[in-house]
Amino acid sequence: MLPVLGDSLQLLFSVEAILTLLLGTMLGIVLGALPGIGSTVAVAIILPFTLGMSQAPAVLLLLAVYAGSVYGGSISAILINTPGTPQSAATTFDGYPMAQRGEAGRALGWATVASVVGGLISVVLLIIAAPQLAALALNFGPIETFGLLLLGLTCIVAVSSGDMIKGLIAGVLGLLLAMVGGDPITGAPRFTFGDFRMIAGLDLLAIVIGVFALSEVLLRVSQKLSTTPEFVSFRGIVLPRLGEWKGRLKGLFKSVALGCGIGILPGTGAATAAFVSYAEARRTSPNSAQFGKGEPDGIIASEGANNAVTGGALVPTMALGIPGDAVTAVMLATLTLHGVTPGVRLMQDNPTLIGAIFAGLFIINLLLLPLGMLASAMAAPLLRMREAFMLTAITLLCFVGVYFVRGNPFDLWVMVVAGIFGFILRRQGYPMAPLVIGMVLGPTLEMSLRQGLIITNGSFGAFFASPIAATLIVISTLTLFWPAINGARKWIFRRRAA
Amino acid sequence: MTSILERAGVALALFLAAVALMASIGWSDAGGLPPAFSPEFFPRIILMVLLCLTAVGFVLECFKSGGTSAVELARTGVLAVALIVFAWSMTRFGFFLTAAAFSVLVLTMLGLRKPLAIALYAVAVPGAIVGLFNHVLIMPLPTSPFSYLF
Repeated sequence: MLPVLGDSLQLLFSVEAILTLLLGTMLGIVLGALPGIGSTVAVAIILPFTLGMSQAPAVLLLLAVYAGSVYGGSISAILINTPGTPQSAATTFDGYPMAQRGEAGRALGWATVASVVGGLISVVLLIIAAPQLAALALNFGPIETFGLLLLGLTCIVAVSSGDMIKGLIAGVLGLLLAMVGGDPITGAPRFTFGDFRMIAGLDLLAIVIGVFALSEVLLRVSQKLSTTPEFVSFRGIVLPRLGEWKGRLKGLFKSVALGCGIGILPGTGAATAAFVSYAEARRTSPNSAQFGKGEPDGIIASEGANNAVTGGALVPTMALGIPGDAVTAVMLATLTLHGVTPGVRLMQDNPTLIGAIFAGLFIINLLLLPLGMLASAMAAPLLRMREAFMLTAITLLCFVGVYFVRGNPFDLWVMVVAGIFGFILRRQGYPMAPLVIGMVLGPTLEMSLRQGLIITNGSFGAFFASPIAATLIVISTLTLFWPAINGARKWIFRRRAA
Repeated sequence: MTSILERAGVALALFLAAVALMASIGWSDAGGLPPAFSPEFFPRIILMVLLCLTAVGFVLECFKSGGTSAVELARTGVLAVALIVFAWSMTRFGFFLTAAAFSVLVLTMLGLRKPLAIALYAVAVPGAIVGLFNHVLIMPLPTSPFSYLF
């Protein structure tokens, strides 16, 4: 244990890693503050810069950008009433009214402290929960792994925003995209249509950047672009005094607990956590009458919860190889690019790296306080920039990013097609996170199913003979059909009442 | 195009794509291989699920009211074509020249009317990216046939 901790700290306290943490957090805050970029796009466009880095700093850079961008979203939410990331949408409800009263600095102060506390507590949860979960999953064979992945996938789809059928379709499309290329067991080409460039499969990053970043650019262009937003006066962050926390700490810890809990559930994401937490705070806060008019409790609820999701979402990612959201799916892809195989053995096989990630994430959340004060001053003038400049820059970075991963021009085509396809689907309300997560989980899901069948001589019954696998498959089925079961239950109650 | 037509059209296109993919691998395993060794075994399951889901999705879309937001079709179409041309020309004419031309086109299309600002942006942003990747990170981007510098 101690030698591993020493090695992890050695990795973390190298000059490269420290610079990475500082730069990544700063960059994440600034990118998160720019409306339209969001955490997934921020992480995706930073990814190519990690290719020349060693393992630990590369992952730390992405984590820093991730945590920084979640916090950074609050800057634009408060200053221009436009959330930089969807996670900060609930922050606008009370943040902007405070800013309109001339208290933008104080609103950002509440957001900063709540974000830091939320992030730090979620890292503690990650450090405690992930190893326990990973140890449990180490005993899993292919059959149990299949059940686990099936459950992960159905959870992600079931809780994906909006229409469940559309979430399911997106998830299945992701599984299908993962199958393009050579069959993992026989090597026979699948869905390549005679094109040799598709034998190696479709690049995950090209798909991710296409469906998130490029489709976002197309979506924004397809609507009326904003010019220069209305800006309130801002002279820097003003941190709340200790006395001002009286009566607000309970709300903060409740929102952090909600954020951690929701973050662990695969697929829910920080936006859901922020809205659930805001609604709960509005219901229980002694100042509930002031909600929507510039009440700090509203900012604390939203920001405490959304930053707590960062650590929570990493629990299934690190312990089981099941990404908690689209951002962690990109991170899993990054680990693969750096020669680390995600999955249930990730923590067992890479203890030094995992130790550095945990400690690094703790430091990143601490850095949010000083760097948040600095970066908010830097990001504020950028918010006056015309959207057209930002969209063009994002597009250029998308092309650079995708080209760099494999240096393969074919990936550019994949990205453009994914971008146009993503634009069409997103316009109709199809969520893109299940598609990416389906693509990440697809290969392992297929391998575990087929390995299970090989071990059991093709017996599907064996999947139900294992108590763990059977339980997981039954829960997956119930999760999928829960809306129908719930609807039927309500209908029966209504009939009885009538 | 009305919104219901657009929504139902997309759902129908997904269904037809699933049918076409299923037809491409065959509706049943003709080779008689055990499931674990058949390359089409898992795709067939996934496509069956997709067929059912897209069929349900299509029916639901036909009966759903409300619609999608209006779309600036011309602008979106031009950008989509520009993206395709960018992907084609980046490896032929180099990143810098392609990105500069793309920036001018997109900024003009998005309503910028200051030639100096557009020109400065079109040179500075791709130039900074080329400088960073080619000369700082030493991860060269595709260069043009005219000069190894950009």
